[in-house]
Amino acid sequence: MQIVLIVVAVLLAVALYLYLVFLALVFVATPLTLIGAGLGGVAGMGIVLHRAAAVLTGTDRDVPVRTPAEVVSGRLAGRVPARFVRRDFAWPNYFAVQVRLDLTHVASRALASCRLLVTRTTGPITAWDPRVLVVVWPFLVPVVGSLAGLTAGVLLAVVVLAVVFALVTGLAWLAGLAVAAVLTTADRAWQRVFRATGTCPRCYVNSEVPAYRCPGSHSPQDVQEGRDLHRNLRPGRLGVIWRRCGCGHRLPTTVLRAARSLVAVCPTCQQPLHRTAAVDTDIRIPVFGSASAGKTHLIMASLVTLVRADSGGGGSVVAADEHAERMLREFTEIFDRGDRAPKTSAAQQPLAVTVRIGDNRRGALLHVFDAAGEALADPDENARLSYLDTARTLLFVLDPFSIPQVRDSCMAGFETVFADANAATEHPEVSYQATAQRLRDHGVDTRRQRLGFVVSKRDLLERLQLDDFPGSDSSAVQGWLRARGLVNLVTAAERDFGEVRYFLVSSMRTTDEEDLFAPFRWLLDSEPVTLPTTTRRGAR
Amino acid sequence: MTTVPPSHRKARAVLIVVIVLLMITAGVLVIRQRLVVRLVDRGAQIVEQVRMLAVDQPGAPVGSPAGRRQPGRE
Repeated sequence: MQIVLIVVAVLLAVALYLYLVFLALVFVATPLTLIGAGLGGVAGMGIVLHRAAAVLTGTDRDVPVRTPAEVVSGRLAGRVPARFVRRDFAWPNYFAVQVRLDLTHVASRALASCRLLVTRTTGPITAWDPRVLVVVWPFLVPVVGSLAGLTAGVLLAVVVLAVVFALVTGLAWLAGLAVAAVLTTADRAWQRVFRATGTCPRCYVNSEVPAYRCPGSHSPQDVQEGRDLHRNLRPGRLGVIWRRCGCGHRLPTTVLRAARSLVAVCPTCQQPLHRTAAVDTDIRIPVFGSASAGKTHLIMASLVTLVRADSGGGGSVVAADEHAERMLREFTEIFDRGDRAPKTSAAQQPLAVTVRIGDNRRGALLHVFDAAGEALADPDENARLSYLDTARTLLFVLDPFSIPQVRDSCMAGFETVFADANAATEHPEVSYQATAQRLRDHGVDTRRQRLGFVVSKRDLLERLQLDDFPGSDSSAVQGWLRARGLVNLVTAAERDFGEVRYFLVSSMRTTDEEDLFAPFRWLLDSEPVTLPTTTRRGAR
Repeated sequence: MTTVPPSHRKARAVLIVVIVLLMITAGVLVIRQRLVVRLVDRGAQIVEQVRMLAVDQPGAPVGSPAGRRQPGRE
């Protein structure tokens, strides 16, 4: 009987417990859970907004930042063309990478806060006595609901924030790509139309985009590591209209704008380029021929004539660097004295003599390369003369006194003329082929190049009183060369090059400027540059 | 802490402006559509439905709260 009473009492107690739990769940837990979940959701969104505000206003100091040093070390997406070596030392555009870091930081911080709240709330409860838990568990349901609402609120807000960031980033990318495309196209179009590139007068590298040195303050270590050099200033992930160097200095992004305010340097040897490099039309004129053919004299006379022609009006022609200024001064003195040009040293790598033709708005840099005949004849030496490869026009200088037939027929009786001529000893065809072969070996399409074929020492040739003395006309000079046994040379030149024009010139002071400058004028005629006017003196 | 360049600060300011504008828009929508009131109503309905499911049993005596809504009894 007693057992039955105990069983009945237990059953009644269980029934009472279940009834009370039922009432608590229905009348207390359900409404409180709904209210708690709603408030938890709002709180979750508030947490995310608070974190986002902290990151975006800069009060959160722990946000990971993609620094210029990391950019240099390759921690920025995108391909870097080999010619630019690596990314420059500059701040990446915010929407290139930092926006992702900010969003990730906001999300991780918000989720961490949410996790902390959950663990702090549930931690003490798990430590409670199980008997207490059995009694009060219906009242814990609202707590669980609130925490679930909080987590859902955080997740929802993170998703919404990610969508907002993605939309703004997408718009920024679209605008950035459009502006970058316009700027880059303008830059490239200018360079294509005006044939503007940067030529290094020392290592001869021809670069479409020169490197630019940042004028900001850089430590000696930065300079040593080349961090002050910006090798690719074109619009990109490091900036669309402007970029910020790692030192904090703001730099323009296109070559056209950079040339106005920055110092251009050769991306290979890092020596300074000319101020308007890659903006001005770039004209490279390599002069080749045998030793003593009169190459330097022709260059000297042509450049002096060009610079002097300026004084008669037209665009200015000035030395583009100190070396050119020194050379022009020397050339002018020698030319005015009527002396011979000094022999070009074969031991030194030729340094271009560069003059700038034009005005402040636009002009051309004319680089004249004069290598010693010995260097041109030596395959090992001439392999280093890479300026030959990138030239659109070349000048071949032939000494008429080195033509075997002229020498054989005129030497006797004109010894003094030959002595004055200091005739080249190498056969003209040998000197021509040395350079032509070099161009072929380096895969240069010479059919796209033009050749000025200059027969020098006209004034001395006149003293030989030849019956068939050629005039200034190109076909007459060509015919004369053929008649003098240089058929193979003429044929080879016309086969190798796209266009060949023949000149017979004297580079003496008394020569008519127009005749003296004729080879250079012909070479420059095809370039987008306005040449100053030379005068016809009729002095000859 | 690394000092970010001004362009980053400007871009973040843009994001702040966009977020604030979205919040204002959301706030206006909530007020215009009376979303809070509707949510509270919906919550009250849920509570009422749960209560009805729990206590509204068929066969309960007429007049008792449980039998109030039995069809054909009134």
